[in-house]
Amino acid sequence: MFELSIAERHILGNPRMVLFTVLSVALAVGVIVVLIGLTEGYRQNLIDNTVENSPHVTVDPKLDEDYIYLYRTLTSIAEERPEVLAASSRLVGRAAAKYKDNVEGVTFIGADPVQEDLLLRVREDMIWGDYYDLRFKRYAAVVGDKLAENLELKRGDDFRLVRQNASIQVKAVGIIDTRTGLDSTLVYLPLETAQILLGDGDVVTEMGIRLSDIYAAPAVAADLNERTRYKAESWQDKSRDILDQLETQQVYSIIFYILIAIIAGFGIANTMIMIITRRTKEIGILMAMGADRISIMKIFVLESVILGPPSALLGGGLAFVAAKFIGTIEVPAEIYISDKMTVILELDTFLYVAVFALVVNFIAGIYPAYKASRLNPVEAIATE
Amino acid sequence: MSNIIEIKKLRKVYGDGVELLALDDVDLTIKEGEVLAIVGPSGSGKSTLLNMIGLLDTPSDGEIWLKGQNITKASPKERARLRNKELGFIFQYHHLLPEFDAVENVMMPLLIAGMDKKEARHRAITLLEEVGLGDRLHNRPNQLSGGQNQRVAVARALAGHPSIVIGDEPTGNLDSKSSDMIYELLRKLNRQMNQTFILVTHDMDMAEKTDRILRLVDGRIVCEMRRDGDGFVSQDVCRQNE
Repeated sequence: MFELSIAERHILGNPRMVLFTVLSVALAVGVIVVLIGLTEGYRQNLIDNTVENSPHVTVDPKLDEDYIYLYRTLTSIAEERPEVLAASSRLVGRAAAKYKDNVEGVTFIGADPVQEDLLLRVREDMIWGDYYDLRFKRYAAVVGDKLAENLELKRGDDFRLVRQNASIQVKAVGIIDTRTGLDSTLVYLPLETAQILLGDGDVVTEMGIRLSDIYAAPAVAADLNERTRYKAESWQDKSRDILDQLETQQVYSIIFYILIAIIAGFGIANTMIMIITRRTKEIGILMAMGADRISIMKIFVLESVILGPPSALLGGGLAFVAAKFIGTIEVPAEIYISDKMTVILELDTFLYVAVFALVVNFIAGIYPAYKASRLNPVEAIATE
Repeated sequence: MSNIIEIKKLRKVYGDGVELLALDDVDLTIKEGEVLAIVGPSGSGKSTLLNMIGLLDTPSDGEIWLKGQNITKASPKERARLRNKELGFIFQYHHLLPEFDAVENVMMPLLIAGMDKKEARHRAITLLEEVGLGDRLHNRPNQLSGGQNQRVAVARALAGHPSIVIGDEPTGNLDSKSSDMIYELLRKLNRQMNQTFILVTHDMDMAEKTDRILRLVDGRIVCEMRRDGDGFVSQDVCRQNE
């Protein structure tokens, strides 16, 4: 195929122009790969965070009730599913904590420490004391570190929890740091103690379930909804809003990628037009030798497409280096969901973007190549 | 000898708005194996006529017949095919492809014709040896002299065994020694292969070595001289014009 050898020589004959064209597409490829990686990293972090720090399935009371009364029965129903690792019946409520002259509003969670630890790995977050102490000490509490600080509560101090007319005195047997906003309001209690504070008998407000397979959550929730009248909800449903938001953001991203592609495409088209302008006479000569319009078009489309793979490769390399660099930047955890930005580069992304580079090169090459094929040979040969 | 080209009432008008009549009712018949020179002042329509014969340009009116076939209204694809099979071009400047060496340049029309690379290379080397460049096969145009490049261009024009070779001032850019060499080369090939040569030239020395001289003025053939032994016989019309 003589078209290919001509295209090849043209490219090798214009190293500088070719370098800049390759660079412009490589940059576009790099930026897109990194952006896709960042979005994917954020999504993954978000899921990890959600999945790690909250129940995979949450069961709420029946529609017309405030509490789950037969929570032991519910637990045994839930535990029939093989994916269920833990089912923690929890009594969550609000109260005031009082220590000396300090008063703070708190959220108390009463639960069986063994199940709750299986559910949320509470013990991993303890900075002092042992969460399991709540199994044996009825009037004991584990307190969020920020709350303890605000109350000026020391280890082992007794403080009061007040709710409406009820008031109990508990001992701070542990301090916990969950690294979330909860730390300024959280008080863990034994389930029975929380029930006393609430004063509504042997009830819980919700059940949290942890699964061996996080993607089984919708099925487990659906199963529970079918078999009981309680309201079960998967983590996917709970974080639906934020996942939807990510989807919406994806649409904007795609528009952004298309704009980048168009800019890169114009860069290539510009170079191709320059090459063709410099080669006008040559195109005329090739026509005189009998090259037809299709062949002329082929030469320049090929020239453009040949630049695709090196652009994709270089762009991929740039993206890889950029991802490594971005991974080392520390960001405040309050702004982002963790203290490091994560860029997830998947092979698929590289493949898609490589195809994208080829397509951009192909499309950008068509118009200049078409113009070249339509040149009048007499005028082309006469060009200086 | 049969007619290889017949041109009937050929007209070419350039421009929209101010019109320029480049060819005005030209009738011309060229026989196979003939060596023809077209002379005339600048702007007389020589190159236009040559471009019509070379199927690079289309007439405004009239007909062009090539080997008994009316090709006036041939499609661009068909014209490209005919240029490749039937015609060879030699330009004033060699117009070789700068990134390709001598052999590759000569191979190009053969590759366009779809010939196998090995076969094309063999044919190109044979031709370059014939034009005396057997030791310059792998030099690029910028490594060759003007005369050498023009010889490569001649080899390229002849590569596909065209029935007609068209030269637009083929020696216009060369010194007289190189000019003579190129012309002798063309003449030798003409005798060997019975190809038709149509040359546009300013060089009367070269024109007078051909079989027939056409003089064009303002898009009309004003004079036609045919070789007769060592001299030329001109038609009455020439004497009137002169």
